[in-house]
Amino acid sequence: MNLPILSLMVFLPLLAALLILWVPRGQERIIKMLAMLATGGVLALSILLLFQFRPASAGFQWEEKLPWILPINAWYHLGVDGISLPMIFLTALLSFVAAISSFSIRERLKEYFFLYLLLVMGMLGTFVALDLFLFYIFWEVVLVPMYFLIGIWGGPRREYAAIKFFLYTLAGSVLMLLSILTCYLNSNPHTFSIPALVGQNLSLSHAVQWWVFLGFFIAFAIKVPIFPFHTWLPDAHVEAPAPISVLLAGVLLKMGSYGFLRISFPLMPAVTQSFSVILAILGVINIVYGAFVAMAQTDFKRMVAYSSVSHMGFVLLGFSALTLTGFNGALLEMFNHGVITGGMFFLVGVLYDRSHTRDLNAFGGLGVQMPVYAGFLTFFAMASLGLPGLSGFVSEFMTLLGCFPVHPVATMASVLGLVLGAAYFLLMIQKILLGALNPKWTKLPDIHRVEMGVLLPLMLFILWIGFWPKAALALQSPALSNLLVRLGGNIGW
Amino acid sequence: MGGLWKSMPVTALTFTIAAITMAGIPPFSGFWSKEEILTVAIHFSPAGFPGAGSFFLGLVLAISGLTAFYISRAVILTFFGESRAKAHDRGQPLRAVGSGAASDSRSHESPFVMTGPLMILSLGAIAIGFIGSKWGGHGFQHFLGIGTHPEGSSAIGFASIGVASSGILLALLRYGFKIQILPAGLRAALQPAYQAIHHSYYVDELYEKILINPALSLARAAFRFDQKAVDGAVNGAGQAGLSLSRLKGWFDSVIVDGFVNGVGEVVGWTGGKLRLLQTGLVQNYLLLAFTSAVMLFILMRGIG
Repeated sequence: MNLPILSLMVFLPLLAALLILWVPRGQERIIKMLAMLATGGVLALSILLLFQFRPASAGFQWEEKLPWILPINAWYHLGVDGISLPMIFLTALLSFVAAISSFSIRERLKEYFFLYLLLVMGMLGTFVALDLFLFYIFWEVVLVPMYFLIGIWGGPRREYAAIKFFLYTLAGSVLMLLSILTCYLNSNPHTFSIPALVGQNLSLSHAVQWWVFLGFFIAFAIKVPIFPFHTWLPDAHVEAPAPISVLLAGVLLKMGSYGFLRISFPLMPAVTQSFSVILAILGVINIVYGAFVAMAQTDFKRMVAYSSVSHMGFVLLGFSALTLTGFNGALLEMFNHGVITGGMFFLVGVLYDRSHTRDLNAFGGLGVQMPVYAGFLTFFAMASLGLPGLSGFVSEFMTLLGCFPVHPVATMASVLGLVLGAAYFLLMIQKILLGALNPKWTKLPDIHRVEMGVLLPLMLFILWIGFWPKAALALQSPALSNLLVRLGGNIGW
Repeated sequence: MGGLWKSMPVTALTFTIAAITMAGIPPFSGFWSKEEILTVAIHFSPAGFPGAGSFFLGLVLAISGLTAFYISRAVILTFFGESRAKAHDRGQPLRAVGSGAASDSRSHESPFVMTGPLMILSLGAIAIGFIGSKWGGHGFQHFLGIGTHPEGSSAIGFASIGVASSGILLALLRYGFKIQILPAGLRAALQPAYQAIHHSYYVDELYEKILINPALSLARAAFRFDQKAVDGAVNGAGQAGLSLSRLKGWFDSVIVDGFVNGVGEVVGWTGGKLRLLQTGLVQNYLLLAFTSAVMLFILMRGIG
């Protein structure tokens, strides 16, 4: 492909954002149209990538490599492989869907979409960057628009949530920068390029390798999030406006686990092996602790936020397995969770729009009042708790299956998370949809067509991957297999 | 409920047919399968328990009797006798929820969509038993591909009918004619057992106590831990950062800046003191010059 598709995809939102700056403030239709064109274009390009991707070929596709800052040997290096492709598609899909959902924003729409498109650019860039310098830049680019999006358009405690998110993530990123510099200085010749560093088989002393891994680990752990670095997540999710929560939960969390797959594991395979047990333990804690705390929530959005913590625990468990099934399950869980929890947050937003409360105990009997919404909510709740036939089950099952031979105790403990997940989601459905209709809500309108249009593509993917996971697995499995070979993992299981 | 055969005759009839077959009254289908089971039960003697067959036979007969009793009770209490529906349920429309049509709570027959299948099923309840029996040529056993075992004695058949009939009769006496069967003292003594059974052996309460409440308490405790301890550490780090910055701010403005200001002050003070030398009086300058000259002369003299 001669056309620089990846650059086009990454910078199309930026172009649209700059164009939006020129649009007069009142012309909301033009602003929305520009945003839809940008995110729609990105989605179309990512679908093109999906169709033209060749899973069997090793290495990166649609590579673009231009010298950038030569004195420090930083290159503008982009590329896609089986690991980044699902993430790119997820970002494109959720950006498009959340942009439609953003039409409900009433004030300062121009600033909102400007920041929104910058955010999309940052997210896409993180997943295609193959140069550590570029990766770090895109990683940081995500923080600033997110800070403003939460801090201006968010809920009552938005300033606190925004600055907590920003400083916490930044603190981790700084440690990552230290690790990047260490890698750079220890490479021969000095390079930031990830494929080159992997090829050089970085010869760091054992202790230094551990410190470098830890530096990356803290940064990614805050993003994933891994207990005990997870407390920014409930606040950020609750206070952010619904479309931004969709992007936060759907994409930003995946940046952390993607970092493990792209950077930590290939660069430091020996430490990865030793870290397997720790990852398993952290995974179990995430799953079970996240599920317990989710069960105690009375705020609907906070409950879904903690369920995200729980689901990311499955990703960690898959990583700790160092088997092909485990890795496949983890990467697939990343995609599925993005789609499912994106849908859940959107549904929370729909309910909040109408009732202006998120208190689970304030609802009741809405199954009669809003039957279509009830159907959607039940569908996404079932997907999230891992009902077979829907995509959540496939990835969670693969993760558990892949991890069982390696860490049987951890896997057994994690299964508790499945039961608890069912418990709190069904509890939520009971409190919201079943029971007597609270007289306050007799005038609540049902979900309307635009909102359904947002959810239907997500439902499509949940069903498709639930019944035919090969569609996704075929794309990602060869790349994961290559990674595992490098890690000395088990590609036979 | 009670007396519902008047308002829903089809349902009442099909239910009664199903009840009769459950009780095991021939020629309804329940009888044939019960007979098969009883016949096999007699021959069931695992090694080491030679008398087991008769025990199982007795057990199965007793349970058949109980089955006949409770299903007859259900039929009598639901469909026969006087209506026991509460007054406000008779003829008051239900509160309309949503936009559905107001439904009458007076009991009525179900639509054909429901009674049709009921009628078909009760035909089955009457007739299907024959397929597996002697008169049906053991068609069902042949279909399954298993052999038929030796014919049961007619004694078993009669025992089964007898037990079922007594069950039905007891139920009729107790619930139809309202004659108490057990003596009052026995009834009072058995109350705790009745209560336990009525509450399903308190299994639900046990689950609630052992599993559900601890899980919910654990959930709440985990949440408190998350908010106070984990998030507290994060906020504490934030506060520590703020306190440190305030400390450094104090240090900067009081000590460092104080030092800078101090230098200025020293210069000013020194200047103020030095200024005193310049009195503007010529006498003082002459005195100073003379004194300096004398001292210089003495010093020169001393060196030289």
